[in-house]
This record gives sequence, C-alpha cells and structure tokens, in this order.
Amino acid sequence: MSTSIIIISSLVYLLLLFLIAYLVDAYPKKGKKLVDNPYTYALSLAVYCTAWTFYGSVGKAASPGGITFLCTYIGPVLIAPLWIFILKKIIRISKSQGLTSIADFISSRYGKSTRLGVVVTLVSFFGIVPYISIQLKAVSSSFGILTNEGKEWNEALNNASFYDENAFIIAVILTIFTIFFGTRKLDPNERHGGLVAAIAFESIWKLFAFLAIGIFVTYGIYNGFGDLFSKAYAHPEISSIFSFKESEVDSWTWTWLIILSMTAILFLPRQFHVAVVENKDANYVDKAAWLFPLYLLLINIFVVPIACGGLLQFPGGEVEADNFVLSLPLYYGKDILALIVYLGGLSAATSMVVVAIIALSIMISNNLVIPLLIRTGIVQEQSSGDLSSRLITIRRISIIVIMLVAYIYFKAVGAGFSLVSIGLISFAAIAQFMPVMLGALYWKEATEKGAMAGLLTGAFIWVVTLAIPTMAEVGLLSENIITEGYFGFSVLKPYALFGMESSDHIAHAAFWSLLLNTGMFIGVSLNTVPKQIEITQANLFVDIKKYTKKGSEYELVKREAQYRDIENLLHRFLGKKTAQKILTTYAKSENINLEKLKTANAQLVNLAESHLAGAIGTASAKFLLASVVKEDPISLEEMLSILDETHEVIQYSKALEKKSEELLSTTQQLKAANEQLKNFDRLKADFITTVTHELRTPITSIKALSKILSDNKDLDTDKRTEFLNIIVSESERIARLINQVLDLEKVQSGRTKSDFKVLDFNQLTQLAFKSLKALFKEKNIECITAFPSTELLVEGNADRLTQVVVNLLSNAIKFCDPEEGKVKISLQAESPNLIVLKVSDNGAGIPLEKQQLIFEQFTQLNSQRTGKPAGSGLGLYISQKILKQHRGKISVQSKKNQGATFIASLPLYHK
Amino acid sequence: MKEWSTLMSKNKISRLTGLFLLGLVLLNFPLVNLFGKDQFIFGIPALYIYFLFVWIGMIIATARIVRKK
Repeated sequence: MSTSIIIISSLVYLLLLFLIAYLVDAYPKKGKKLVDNPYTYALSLAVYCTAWTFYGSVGKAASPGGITFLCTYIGPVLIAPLWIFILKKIIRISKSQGLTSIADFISSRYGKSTRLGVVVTLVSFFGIVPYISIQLKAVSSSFGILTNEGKEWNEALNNASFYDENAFIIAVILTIFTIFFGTRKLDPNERHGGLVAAIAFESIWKLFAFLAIGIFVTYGIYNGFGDLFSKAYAHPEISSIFSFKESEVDSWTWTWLIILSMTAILFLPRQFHVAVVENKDANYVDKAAWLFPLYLLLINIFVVPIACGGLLQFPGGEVEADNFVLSLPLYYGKDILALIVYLGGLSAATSMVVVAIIALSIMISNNLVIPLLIRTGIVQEQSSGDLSSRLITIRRISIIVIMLVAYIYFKAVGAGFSLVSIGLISFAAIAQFMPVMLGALYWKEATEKGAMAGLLTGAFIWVVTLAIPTMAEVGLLSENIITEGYFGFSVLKPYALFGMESSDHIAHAAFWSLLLNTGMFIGVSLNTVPKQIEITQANLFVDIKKYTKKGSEYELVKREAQYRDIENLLHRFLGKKTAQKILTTYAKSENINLEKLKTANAQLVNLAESHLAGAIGTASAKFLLASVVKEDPISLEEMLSILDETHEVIQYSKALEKKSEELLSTTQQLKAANEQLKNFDRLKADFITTVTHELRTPITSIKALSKILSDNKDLDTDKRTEFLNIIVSESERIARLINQVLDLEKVQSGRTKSDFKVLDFNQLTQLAFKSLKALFKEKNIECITAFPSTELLVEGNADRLTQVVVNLLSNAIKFCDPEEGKVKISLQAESPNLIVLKVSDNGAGIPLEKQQLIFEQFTQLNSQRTGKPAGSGLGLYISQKILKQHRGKISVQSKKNQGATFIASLPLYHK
Repeated sequence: MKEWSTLMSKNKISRLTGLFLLGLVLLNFPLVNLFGKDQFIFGIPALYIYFLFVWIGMIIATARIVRKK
C-alpha cells in the first residue's frame, strides 16, 4: 500500500476527530444531547482499551501462558458491580470539591497537601510515560508494516532508522493533536465535551475494526470457531496457549494480575479523567457498570481465534505476534481491511495518548508547577493581569514534555519489550494508589503522613522490582543487578526480593509493593495525629452523603475575606469572563448586590476555592486563598454554640429535676385526695345506714300498730284513736325525714347565689314565727319576741332562710321545758354589717361535749318530753350549711339545765 | 448533581458486593483449572465457553440489580 494513502487516511481520521470535537463544542445544545448520556459515558470509559488491547492482546494470547491477557479485562468486569457505589462516591466527592485529577483527589483528602500531590503526580508520570511510549511503538510499527508492500514488510521491521523517524513524526502529530484537544480553553471543571465525543467515537471505531478482523479470520480464512479451533488444536504448541494446565500460569500470577487491572480501571489517571472529571451525572455509572463489561466482552471475543489464526499462518515466529491483526489481512491481500484495522489501532492509541496526556498535564501543572510558582512568589509578583493564559501555556509545555519523555523512553527501552509487559509495569505503578484511595473513601483515621509513607514505600519497591530491572534488561544498567541482586546481596534480587521466588515479575512486584505500601500506610496513620484540616477533609470525603446537602455549615474552619481579593484571584486565574460569570451566578442565587459586597462569607470563599481548585489544583487554591482569607480555626461563634449546647444540657437537666419534684408533690396531693375520697365514701355509707335506720324505726311502729288495729276489730275507741294518732305522727316523722334528706341534697348540690335575691330578713322571720304560733299555743309555750321595726335586708334565698328559722324555732319547741315552756326570740342588727337572730329555750341544755357535735349530720338529742330522739339529726346540719352559703354562721351557747341559745348571724345587705 | 435520594439501598449494595465475590470465585483458581485443553463443546474449547458464560452472566446480573427499584 502506498505511504501517501496511509498518511492521508490517518490525517483524515484525525481531522474527523477534530471535527467531531469542534462540532460538539460549537453547538452546545445538540452536543450536550450527544455527550450527556450513559451510553457515551460507557463508551468513553473504553479509553481503557488501548493499542495494548488492539495489538497486544493477540500478541500475549499467542505466547505460552497467553491466557493471562484476559486478566486485564476480567479485573474491570469483576469490579464493575462495585462501581455503583465506589465510583459514584468518588464522583460525588470530586464534584463537590472541584477536584480534577487523582493527584488532586488524594492531596485534597489528606489535608490539601501539596507534598502528596507532588508524589502522586510523579508516580503517575513515571508510571504512565512508558505506557504512552508503547502507543507510539504500536502506531509506528503498524504504520511501518502497512507502508511496506508485499513481503518486504518483514524486513522493514529491522530497519531501525525508518522506525524511529516514524515514531518521532507520530509523536509530534499526537502532541499537536493533544494540545488542540486539551488546552483550547481553560475550563475550571476540566470538562471537555468535544473530547468525550471524540473518545466515544474512537471507541466505536476500534471495536468495529477489531470485530471486522476477528470475523475475517474466523469466517473468512476459516469456517467459523469450530473449524479454526480444531485446526489450531491439532498443533500441541498452539493448543496450550489458551489453557491453565501445562502452562506456566498459576493462581498466584492470575490473582495478582486481576487485582492490578481492578485498580487500573479505577485509578489510572486517564480512567479517572473520563470516569470522574468528565462525568456529567453520577447516575450514568449504573448503566456503564454493565455496558462497559459488554464492550470488553465484544472486543475480546476474537482475540483467541486471531491468535490461533496467526500462529497457524506464521508458525515460524517470523512475524511478531503483536502484529498478527495487521499481518493476516495483508498476507491475504485485503488492503482495505488492513487499513481499517490500522485506523482502529490508531484510534485506540490516540484516544489513550490524548486522555492520558491531558490528565497528566493537569496534574503536572496543578500539582507540580503552580505550587512551585506560588511558593516561590513568581505568580504574586506579577500582581496585575490575567493569568489564565499563562496557565494554558504551562499546560501546553507539560504536554510537550510528557510526549518528549515518552519518545525518549520508547527509544531507550520501549522497543525492546512487548506491549503487554510494559503496560503491566504501568499498572503496577498505578496500583500504589489503591491503599490511599480506599483509605480516602472509607477510613477517617488515615493521615497525610500515613499516605505519604505508604505511597513512597510502594513507589520505591516498584522502582527497585520493576523499573530498574527493566532498564537492566535492555542494557542501560548492568545485568548483574538481576542475577546477583542489588549491591551484590542475593536477598535483594529485584525479581526475588528477600529470597521470594515468583513465577511472574509483575505479580512479585505487585505483592511486595502493595504489601509494604498498605502496611506503612496503616501503621503510620495509626501512629500519627492528623491536622485539623485533615480531619475536616476526612469527614467530607468519608461522609459525603451527609455533607452534600449541608455544605459549608459543617466546616470546622470559618473563613472570611475581602470581596475584592476574592474577585481579583478569580479574575487572574480563571480569566475575567469566566470569573464574572461565576460571581454573577452566585450573586443571583443568593440575591446579593456584588457592587456593595465588602466581605465574602465562608460560602463565597468555598465557592471560589472549588473553582480555583479546578483551575490550579486543591493545594494551590488553598495556599492562594490563605493569603487573603482570615481563618478562625475555632471561631467565637462556634465556641459560643458549643457553650450554648453545654448550657442547654445543664438547663435541661435542671428542668428534669424540677419536673421530678413536681411529680413528687403531685403524687402526694393525689394521695391526700384519695384519702379524702375514701373518707367521703365512708361518710356516705354512714349516712345511708343512719337514714335507713331512721326510716325503719317509724315504719316498724306504724306496721305494728296497723297490724294490731286490723287484727283486733273490737278494740275500744280510745285505744284505737291513740294508735291512729301515733301512726299519723310517725308518718309525719317519715315525711319530715324524707323532706330533710331532700333539702340536704338540695343544699349540698350547692346551687348557690344564682337564685339569690335581696329580701327583708325581719319580715321573713316574723312570717315564719306566725306560721308556728299555733304550735306554740298548742304546747303551752310562752313566747317572748323582740323584732325590730326597720327592714333588715339580706341577700339570699327566701325558702332556705325560712327553713333555717323554722328549724331553730321547732328545735326550741322540742327541747324547751315540757311543763313551763319558754322561748325567747330576738332579732337585731348588731353592727352596721351584721344581723343576729337569737333563739333561746329553757330546756335541759346541751352538754358541753355535745355542743360541737350537734351541727354534724345525724346527731340527735333526746327529747325531754318523750325521752326518745326528737329529730332526724339533720336540721342543724342543714341550717349550718344554708347559713354558710349565705356567708353567715351559727353557734350555740348553753349550760346544763339552763337552756340553750342558738345564735345565727348573717351579713347585712347594702345597696 | 442529583441528590443522594437516588442512592441505592443497602440491599442493593450487598447484592452487588455478592456478585463481585461470586465473580471472583468463578473466574479464579481452582475453578478455572477444571477445564483441560482437550475438552470441547461444539468444537470450541470448554474453557473458552466457560469464560464467555460467566462474563455474560456478570453483565446480565449487574444490569438486573441496577434496574431493580
């Protein structure tokens, strides 16, 4: 095939990529639709499949123990289900903190540490540069194979100068390509929609190309899988490539390679870039978690058939197995297919190179160069002007440097190794991030010093067990290192450290580096005290769920700055336009007038920091802000709030104490009330017993007399009359008793005051007396009355008061001397406010010990006339109750055999 | 960015972790070593079929767990 066709098609392909990226960026609306969906996201993750996959998988699969090529893909397939919470968490943390690379992520978590950012950047740089160099090798060798027509291509491989020239040109083209893609403008979030679209397109193209060659080999050259496998397996040396038995692959190697690829898919800088930094929505991970394994399945399904086909076709080893995918169509004269395959390899290589270099250049500029410039004061000195264009220049220079180093590495070392072995060396370097990353996500006690110790140890072991021996193998260093060990100590053999023989160098290096890395990380973390900012960041990372909503409220450090300073910083590092856009958006959302704003609160400071972090890295952003921001490690406000809390707790416990006291007193009151109720209950029982007893007595006599009358019809008239009289009087007694009980009920139910009227107590008393006059006469009782001539007004119920007077008078009648009864009644106003009614009799009097009792219920005194109890025992009780309702009193004065005087008093009514 | 309310339940996390562990066992020694080089299914090496089978299984299982509400 002619060179010009290949060059033109390569350039057309690259231009197509530019066009895609350009269109997506130029038409943001339509472009967004194309880029902002889970399918494009999953396809962009396929940047994982590089020239290593495209050429190297077949190369590895065609060698003894070749089945290990699968480990690189099994790791991601296994870990994909865990993405749904691990990767999502990383994405959420990164978005909330404005993190744009794995170096930034680690540095930010461990207290925004600059040192840690530098270490991660250096490890990534030295780990990834070889990986980039093998892409150069793959592209230049595929170009070489394709441009040499016919059988000469084989010889061309040995033509070293041609090879190098090719690689250099390709490196230059890829550098320009990357600069155009990655640094056209500075985006604070490092989002490149156009780039993602181009990467997704490349993923489709490389899959298509690989499936095309797979189908060609399987169905074009052979008659399907069965035919191909049966022919291949007829050769014993081919049949052992895809098998564990009879090959050198053991469980040790297999397991470690899978672990390495699991870490690579998450932590490779380019994977981190597409999966986290370019991610538009964390929920896209859900679909990607099964779409991406599906992609890997499709791109791997023909690897073994192609390897078998290649081995059948070129049994002598005259063709490097890495080149089978290209050599097979060329051998069969399928030039167009070869061109498609070549472009597929080109797409696999370019996507990897572009993304890896962009990711690395972000790290180098944000975590290496800018911290250096800021610390030396170079940035501050040029106090005026926009620095964002300078940042882009730094970015561009770092891209050129990375490519240059990759090219040098390719020339010095890369050409001597297969694609897979160099790729795995890179994986082993990146795997060193695993302990600190897992610690960052799930272990709050992890400290910066622990992370530093772990990373440095892991990196050191990686250097001595992989990087140095690799250089020794190509002759840059003495071979003795490998055979005799470092400094001649056999325990320090790079491939058998401490005497541990391993079937595989990579597994050996991965084991020792990760073991010591993790050990140091945990050990040092447990024995160092984290700084305050480390604790804050640890909380923000591990508990991202809690903090997503609350944001700055939870921060331990309250920050404030002059608004002008913040504005200046943003202007200088993001450019005027971007900075102004950010500030106005903020002002709008918070309803603030920027013109009048003097101090920037913690929220604005945080916002500025996250945007600056996007542009220049977390550590640098923190450093820059520190120069303008006033920080109160524990602010007064917070101290107060803590004190408040303590105060609240004390108050609360006091309140509790009070409550319990109250409860105690309430309990006592309840007890007393209960006691009273019991008492009342007893009284009520007594009352009922007495009343029924009182009723029974007259009824018994009525019953007995009536029976006598009815049985003895011939009883003489006198006796009959006597009996009937007794029956009548006993009946009256019952009636009286019942009336009095009813009265008692009325009085006790206490319908007081509502029916009170102003009335003349003088008139009332005289009326009551008149109604009883007949009774006095009948019993021959002498009455002496002393009523005043004036009105004596009281407020009260006439019926009740009448009852009191009648009660007192009838008591006097009952208890006065039976022979010469004498009753004195006097009524007068004793003071301007008091009316007193005195009723005296000349009876036997009331013994002193009974004077209190007579006002209780059912206290009866024996009548002097009959010698029997004369009343119901309720009269005085009721009278007392009624007077109490009228705010009056009743009392008694008496001496034995000198009669008794009842004194009732009532308040006088004034108008 | 959407709120965390869209986050999966604990149950989903355990299912996904379980799937990961299951895959780890299925695609590792000693199970992968059960297939010799002369075992074929429809003329295709049994080991090849086995890998294909587990791989597709992982894809389907992940998709199903993710879709579950």
